[in-house]
Amino acid sequence: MHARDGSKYLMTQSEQASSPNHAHLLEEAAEWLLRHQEGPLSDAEIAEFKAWRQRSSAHEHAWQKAEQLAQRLQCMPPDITRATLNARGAQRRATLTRLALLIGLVPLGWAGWSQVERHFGADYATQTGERRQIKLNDGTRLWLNTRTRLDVTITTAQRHIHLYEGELNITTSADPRPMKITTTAGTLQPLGTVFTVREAEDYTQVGVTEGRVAISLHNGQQHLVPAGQQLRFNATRLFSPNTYSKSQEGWIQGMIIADNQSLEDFVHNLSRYHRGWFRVSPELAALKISGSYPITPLDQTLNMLARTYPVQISRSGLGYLTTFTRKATPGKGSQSTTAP
Amino acid sequence: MSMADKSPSDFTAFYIHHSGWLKGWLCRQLNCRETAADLLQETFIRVLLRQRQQVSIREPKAYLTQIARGLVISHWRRQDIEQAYREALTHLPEPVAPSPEVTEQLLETLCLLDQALSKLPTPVQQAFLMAQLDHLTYRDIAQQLNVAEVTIKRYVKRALVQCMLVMDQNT
Repeated sequence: MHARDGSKYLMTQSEQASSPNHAHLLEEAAEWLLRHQEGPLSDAEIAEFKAWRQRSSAHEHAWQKAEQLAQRLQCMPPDITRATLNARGAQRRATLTRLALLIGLVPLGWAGWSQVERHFGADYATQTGERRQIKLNDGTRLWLNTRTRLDVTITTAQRHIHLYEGELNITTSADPRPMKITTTAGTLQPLGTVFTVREAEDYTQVGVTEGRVAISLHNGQQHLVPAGQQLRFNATRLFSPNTYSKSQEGWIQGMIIADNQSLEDFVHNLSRYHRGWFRVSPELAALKISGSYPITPLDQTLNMLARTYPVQISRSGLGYLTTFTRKATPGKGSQSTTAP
Repeated sequence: MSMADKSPSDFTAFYIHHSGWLKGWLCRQLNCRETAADLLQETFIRVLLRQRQQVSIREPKAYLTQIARGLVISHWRRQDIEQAYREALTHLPEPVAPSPEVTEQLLETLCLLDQALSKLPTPVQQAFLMAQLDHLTYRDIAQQLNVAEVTIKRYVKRALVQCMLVMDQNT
C-alpha cells in the first residue's frame, strides 16, 4: 500500500515536471517569493497568498521549492559564489571539449549543448584583460581586445570574420577577395581600411581611422562610415554618428585614454578588462575624467584616479567588488586600500 | 514492456546482463575505476527509481547510456565547481575553512547555480546575483545594468524559475 502511494507520487511529480503548467506554477511561486522579499505583505496580500498556496498540492509544492531555493541562496557568501562562478566560465571551454567527445561516442539528442558549444568554440578568443595580435594568412592584421570571440573563414572567393563578442581592430591587406565582418546587428564591409568594431551586448559599434566601412543592417538599411567617424547600430536602426579618434584605440597599447569622459563611462570601460564588479556612487557618476591610464595593474590605475580626483576607492570581497565613493573629508578614518 | 511488474530477480538479471559493458563505458569516460563503479551503482539506482514510474525500457543500452551520461556530466561539473571553489577560497583575504557539512551545502548550491545560470543571458545572470546575493534593490540594479526596473524583476524571476527547474531535474 505504502509503496503504491510512493509510485503514484513519483508519477505525478514527473508528469508535472514536463508540463507547461508546472513551469507556470513555478513562475507564480517565484513571483510570490519576490513579493515577500520586497517587503512585508499587506493583510489582503497575505490572504491572497494563502489562497494561492491552498489551491492545490502542486501549488504548495511549487511554493516549498521556491522557499527552499531562497533558503539555500541565503546561505551563499556572495564573494565565494561569484568567484567560483567566474572561474567556471574559464573552465567551461575545457568541459565542452570533453562533452563533445562524450557526445561523439553515443549520438543522442543534445540540442541544449550545441548552442553553448558554438558559443564557446570560436576560432580565436581572448579572456578578460587579455589582448592579442593575430595575422591572418591573407595579410590582414587583427588586434583582439578583452573578452573577444570570433571565427575566421577564408575561401578562394571571400574572407569572412564572424564577431560574436568583444572588440576587434582590423588593418586590412591588399587582397582582392572581398572581406565581410558579421555581427548580430549586421554586416560590415571594409574598403581599404583600419577600423575597430565592437560587439557590445545590444549594439555593434564601428570606428574608422583610415578608409571607409560599408554597413548593412540586418533590416537591409545601408550606410557608409568615413574615416574619423564612429557609429553605433543594431539590427533595425543606426544611431547618430560622432567623431572617432585614434585615442579610442589606446587599448592596443594597454591604455585607456579619457578626454572629458564621465567617471561612470570610464569605470564601465575599465570593468571590461577586469573580473569582478565595479560600482560608482550616483553623486560621482557625472564627474569628468581626463588623462591616460594603464589598463593593468588595476591597483595602479585606481591609485592614479584617487590621486587626481576626489574619489575614494575601496575594494572588498576577494577584490571582486570595487566601489567608487566621494572622498571623505580629510582626517576621517578611511578603509580604502588604495588611498595614498 | 514495463519493468514495473517485473520481480526483483528480473532486475538482477538486467543488472548482470548490462553492468559489464556499462562499467567499461564509464571507465573509458572517467579514467577512474572507483568513480566508474560509483556511477554504475548510481545509474542502476536511477533505473530502479524510474521503474516505479513505470517507464518502459525498449532499448536498454540507449536508456542506460543516457542516464550514465547525465551522471558523468554532473560528476564533471561537480569536480570543476569544487576546483573553482577551492581556488576562490585561496584568494580570500583571511583563510576560511568551512566545515565539511557547510562546504557540501555550498558546493551543491554552486552546482545548481552554475547549471541554471549558464543557460541564461548575461544580464539575467547579473541581475539575479545582484538581487539574490548582494540584496541590491531593483532600482540600484536597473541603474547599474542600464535596464528598466520592471525588466530587472522579470530577469530575477526568470533565473529563479530556471533554478527551480534544475532542482526538479536533479531529484
